[in-house]
Amino acid sequence: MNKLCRWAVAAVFAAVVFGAPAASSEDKSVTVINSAITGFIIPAHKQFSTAAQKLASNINDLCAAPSDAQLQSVYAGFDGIVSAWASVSIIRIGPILEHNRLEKLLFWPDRRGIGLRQVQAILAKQDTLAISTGGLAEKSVAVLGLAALEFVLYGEGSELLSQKTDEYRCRFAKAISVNINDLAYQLLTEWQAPDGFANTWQNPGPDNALFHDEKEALSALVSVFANGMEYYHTVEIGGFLGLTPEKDRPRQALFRRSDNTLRFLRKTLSDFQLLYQKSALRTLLPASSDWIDEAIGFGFKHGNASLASLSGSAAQILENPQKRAKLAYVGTVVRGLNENFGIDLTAALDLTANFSSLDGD
Amino acid sequence: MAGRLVARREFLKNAGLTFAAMLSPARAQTLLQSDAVYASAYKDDSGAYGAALLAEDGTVVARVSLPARGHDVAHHPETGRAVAFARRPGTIAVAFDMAMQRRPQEITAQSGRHFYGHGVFSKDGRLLYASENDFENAAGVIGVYDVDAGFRRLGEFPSGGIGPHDMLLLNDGRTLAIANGGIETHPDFGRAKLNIATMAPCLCFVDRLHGTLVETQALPPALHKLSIRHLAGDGVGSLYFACQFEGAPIRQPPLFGQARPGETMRLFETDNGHLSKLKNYIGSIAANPQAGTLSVTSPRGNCLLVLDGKSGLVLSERRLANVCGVTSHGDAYFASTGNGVLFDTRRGIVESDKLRLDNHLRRIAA
Repeated sequence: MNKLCRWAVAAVFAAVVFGAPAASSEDKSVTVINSAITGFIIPAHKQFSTAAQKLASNINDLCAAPSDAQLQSVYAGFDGIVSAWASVSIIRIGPILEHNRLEKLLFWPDRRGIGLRQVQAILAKQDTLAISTGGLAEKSVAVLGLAALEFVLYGEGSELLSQKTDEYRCRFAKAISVNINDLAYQLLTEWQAPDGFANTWQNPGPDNALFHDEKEALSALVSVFANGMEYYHTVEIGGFLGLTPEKDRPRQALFRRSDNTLRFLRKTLSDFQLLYQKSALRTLLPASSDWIDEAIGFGFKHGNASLASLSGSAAQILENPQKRAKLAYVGTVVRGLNENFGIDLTAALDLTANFSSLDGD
Repeated sequence: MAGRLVARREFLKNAGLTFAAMLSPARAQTLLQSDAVYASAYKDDSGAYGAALLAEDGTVVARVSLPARGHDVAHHPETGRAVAFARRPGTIAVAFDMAMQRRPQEITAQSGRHFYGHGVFSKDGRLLYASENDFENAAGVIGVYDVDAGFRRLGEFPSGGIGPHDMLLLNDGRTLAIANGGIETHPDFGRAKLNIATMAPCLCFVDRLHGTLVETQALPPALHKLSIRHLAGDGVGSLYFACQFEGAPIRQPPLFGQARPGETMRLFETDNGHLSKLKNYIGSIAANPQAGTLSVTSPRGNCLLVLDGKSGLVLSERRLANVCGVTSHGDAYFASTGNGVLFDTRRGIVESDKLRLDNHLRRIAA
């Protein structure tokens, strides 16, 4: 067999095993990733950093001059960071997966209440290490993030925050908020660094340790949606919405203490849609697969509309049969989106569908 | 070959008339001529799940329906019993009989437990051990089932860690090697991992007769996010283990190694070029004592490696989309993919019935 013939056989073999993608799709893959990064990911991290800075400043002011009005400013700041976190939390790739940053920013789900117990122990003991410069960062990840801060700001005993200057609880809240601000800054810096993760993702190739080719880079983006949709319906909704009302767990709802459950769910789903739009992922779909874009559009539209029509706390939603049914509908719609991204879009773009979207076995 | 043919005939004899009758003449002939029979969980084009018996030429010779996605199939060669386990956090396993002379039987996990997808029979085939999650207590357990009493659950013992996954019965017939992946999950939160920051995987050796922990082996603390998931025996008293890394993707630690009771676990060093193709994730591992090799697959990296059994050095690499299941076959390997492709490392792609084959492939005869 001559060399050319061998090459042809190899090419046919490769086409059989891996399928033969349209060349134009590969060319456009990096453009889509660039659009996702510049159009959504960097702005989201900037907003998160800004929100973290503002909240830390608000808490600092509260500790120095406590008042009901100042506490309300802190609460507004917490609402703001919940929204900003929703945007960042959907990007489960890159810097957030390093140094336990994801867990440090939000230790959740925590069904055994590990974080709560540790936070209560720190408050009871008035642990000086927890409020010393850099001391908190040495503590368990369970007391560092937004869930811990939410309990300090809204949990039992939080009324002290507006009553006593430089009270321990407030100083603890300040230490957590400063740590969150540091983490938010690290995330932004690493996304933006010239040799940072964005650069790695935008430049796939044989020498790139993470993305050997455009397909792998694109798969990572599609996985953000597929994994994110699965996490959203199984954990962020499914964590407190049971299969039947008897199995509901309102106390497991994320950000229930600050009454931000619905705010978080709305922002998360609408940001997935925004990321989809900004990335222009649909432009990679062949014409015969237009239906996938339509199905994704349908899912986002109806999921977002249902969430917009809801109101109240997690417990109030679960207690009201109509509202509960609407939330269940959102879960169903998002499960469909999970299949649209994880199966349909993955196949249409000729990407590898993982055996498991959330993780393997 | 003559020996294999005898084994094939023996299989058909054991399988009995019912099994033979359910096969079309062409498929029965295929089976008779096949060097080996394999079992794997699958998903078909209609979205239905099941476990399939496959001939070496890729023909599906029998199917058993599963109510949900399966993972691995445990089998006992002498009794012909097999059990397909639900993928975690599933609560159903389906026992069937290679001879298809009994109706498949559902085994339901005890309340407060779910299966992890793997199990093993005792040497005499009378007991079945299944890796399970005591999820309220975040503790791994091994459920013990009486095969002849309709798979009645006799009890359980601790697996020695969190998140037990694959397990092996060592040559002594008494010691179970259990890969405790270290990851806490709870069905309330689907498959979400709840303890990544503090996870602590381990390999445990447990006396199955008394349910006592004989030995726990662990990797260095710096590798506490290296989840030990799958095992393969080397046939001479030690085993190979394969891992999935839960830390930052930019870090690429070794992913497989060798262990033996009473000795320190050893990770095989792999060159960065091959390691990066595995994407920090090995889906299956198989050993081939006859050839002195092992094989690992990465469905995320679309990659199958064959390695030297002593040094772990890479002997060959195959690129194969969505490859995961792998089992020894002669002096080589047979692999399956989620796209329905079967691959023989000696002969290349085997035309098959295009079932989407799930994570593991078990050789059940020949």
